[in-house]
Amino acid sequence: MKKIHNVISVILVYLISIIVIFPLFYTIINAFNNGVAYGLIPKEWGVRAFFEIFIRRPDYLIKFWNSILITLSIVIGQLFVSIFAGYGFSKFNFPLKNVIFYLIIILMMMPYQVTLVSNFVVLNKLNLIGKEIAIILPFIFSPFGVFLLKQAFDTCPSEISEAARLDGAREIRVLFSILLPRIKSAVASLIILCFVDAWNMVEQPLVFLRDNYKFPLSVFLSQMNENNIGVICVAGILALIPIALIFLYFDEDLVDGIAIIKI
Amino acid sequence: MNRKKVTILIISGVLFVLLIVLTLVSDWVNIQMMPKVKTHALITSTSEEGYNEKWVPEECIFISSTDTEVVYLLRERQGRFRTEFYVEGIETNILERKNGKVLLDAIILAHLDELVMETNLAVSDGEAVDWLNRRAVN
Repeated sequence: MKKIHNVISVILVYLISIIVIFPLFYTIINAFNNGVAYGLIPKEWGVRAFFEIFIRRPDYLIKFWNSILITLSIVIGQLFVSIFAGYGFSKFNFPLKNVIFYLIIILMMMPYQVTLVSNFVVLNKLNLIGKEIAIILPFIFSPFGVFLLKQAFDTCPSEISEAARLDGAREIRVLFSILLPRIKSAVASLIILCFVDAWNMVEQPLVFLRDNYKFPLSVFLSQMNENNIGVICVAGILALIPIALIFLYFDEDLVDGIAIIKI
Repeated sequence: MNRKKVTILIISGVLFVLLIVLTLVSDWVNIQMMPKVKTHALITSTSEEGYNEKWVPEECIFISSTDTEVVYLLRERQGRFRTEFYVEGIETNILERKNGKVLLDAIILAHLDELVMETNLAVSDGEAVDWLNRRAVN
């Protein structure tokens, strides 16, 4: 009975894996499609799409670098804010701490469209509309990052930081030399999740940016209307590369980090 | 740092450098393969009845992909690396032909607008072009 159960489980896992991997496989195959129509086996094979993306037109690569600029800025900013805010919520007591934290949790549950209009009004008053900073700034203040790192800091015993303070270490030293190395996996998880979220955003650039040359690759992909199927698929692969590399680098830490949330 | 992470870092670094090089190469190739255009500055005149008239050389009239007569207006826009010129296709009607010139019915055109007169490759609306008159002036 157990053996049958195992066989069925393995078959199910393989089936689900095929369903998940198939679109990627299809995209890679059609990247070598020189024709107009999609196909599991393209009728015309060639590397014209690669030539178009990497040699002939710089538009795609420029938008790739726009994505890199925006995403890296958001990840670094979000890390900075989340580390300090998470540490503060975890290790310090201040008036209305619990109320503010619950507000952060409520914000975390809201879809971003709820705050889109208010963000636009504020950024417009600051004359930031049309600049990349208009996308970066609202994204830096992420409730999820604060929540995740607060939970991670909660797992660190306070005795360790007290011992460090008794030895003369300042708060910054306690944070960066003692506590942060202990929550490496949570930080790595935050980096991955934040990177993926920022890399795939489409609505914010459409609302906050004006110039076509500033759009990231995600917007470009969502608006693509090429007759050349190969170009669409190669652009998709180009968008996939950084996420794949980030995930491969941090994959061991991702599961540990999310487990810290104890959901 | 374990071997896997070092390998991924090296691959990322190599890809990063390769993509930078490809970006610069594709920008250069794009400039070389752009349509090269010469333009004619539109000079508006006033008719005897007091109307604004727009006479342009016949060479400024092109046939679009939808078989309509268009003129291509040269415009400027900001690109990531530099300011670039592009063409905007404007559909027009020809009211009169005389001595190799045509009278246009196009309200949107203004005095001293640059209209594409000569191009080595077919152009389409919104396409970036290399403006040869600018090089001549410089």
